Amino acid sequence: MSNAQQALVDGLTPFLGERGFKWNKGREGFFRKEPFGFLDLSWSTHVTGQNGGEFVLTPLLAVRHNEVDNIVNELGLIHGDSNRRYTTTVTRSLGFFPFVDGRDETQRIRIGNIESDAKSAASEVRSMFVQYGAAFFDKYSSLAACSEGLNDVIETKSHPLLNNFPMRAYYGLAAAALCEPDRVETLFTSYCQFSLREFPDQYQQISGRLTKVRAMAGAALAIRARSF
Amino acid sequence: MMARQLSVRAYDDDGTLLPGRTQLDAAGWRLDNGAFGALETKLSPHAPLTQGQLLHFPALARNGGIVVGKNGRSIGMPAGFIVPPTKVQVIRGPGLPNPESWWSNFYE
Repeated sequence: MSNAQQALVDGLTPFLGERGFKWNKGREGFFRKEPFGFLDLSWSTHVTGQNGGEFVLTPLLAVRHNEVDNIVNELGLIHGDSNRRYTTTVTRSLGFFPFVDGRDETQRIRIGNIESDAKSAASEVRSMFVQYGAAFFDKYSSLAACSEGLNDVIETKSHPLLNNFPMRAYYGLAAAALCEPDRVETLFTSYCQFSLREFPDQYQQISGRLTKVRAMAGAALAIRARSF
Repeated sequence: MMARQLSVRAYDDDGTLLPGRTQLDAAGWRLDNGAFGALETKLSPHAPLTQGQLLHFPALARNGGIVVGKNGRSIGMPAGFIVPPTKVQVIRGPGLPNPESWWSNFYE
């Protein structure tokens, strides 16, 4: 990890620690375990030559619901158990999808000014967390909110809660199957139709995976019902 | 929408991950057809590929690979995400467009 990132971590650790988040060195993110999975605050990083060299850090908020991720990960799209344990159900990058239109949540730490820039960046991230991040985590700790959010809107390729189609379709369908089973057939048909229209070359693969997700989620729901 | 400096490891011809990793300057899902695309930029016409790029780029084109690290998460590619076989497109300067425009110049 770079000195810039370490300085930002140091600036955030007391604040996030008070709220139950712990820094995970291997995954380079702040995590809070929950009965259903975990909450995750981290950032993507790249280096540019601007301003004499600077780190550009874009915050990202994510929530994992184990039940959903365990189903989608059965599709074999993620390499390795250690990686599969850290996939997330909803993931919002504040670079593409800030909470307020036009507000740039991206933080810049100049290599020649790490200490003061990191302090400022940490302050900005804390402010974002208080104003919007905590509410985001509260909301998407609900599986029903994840289902509703991931499946709203259906016909779009980019999306603030999972910016990848068809991955969003798999997650949206799995989440719905677990908490809004009445919607599953309609969602399944809608996602298949959308993929046929927009990505005809991948239609067979996508519809096959959606079929698997639907079956696995149905089985998980049946097991859950028997256990009560 | 693209991810910047996305780290990847390519599979070799036997399906084993090659050692090390390489970074793609820009990578993402094409909005026109849903395919994965990747760009590498070089500042001059003759700047060579690095050793890591020479190892991973051809294998990535043949066999695909996986995402390493967290820079792919903004485009739904977490660590371990399996990347389909992808030929990395190399664009060379001088006169490169602004980095924010790389992706749209080629893929959107």
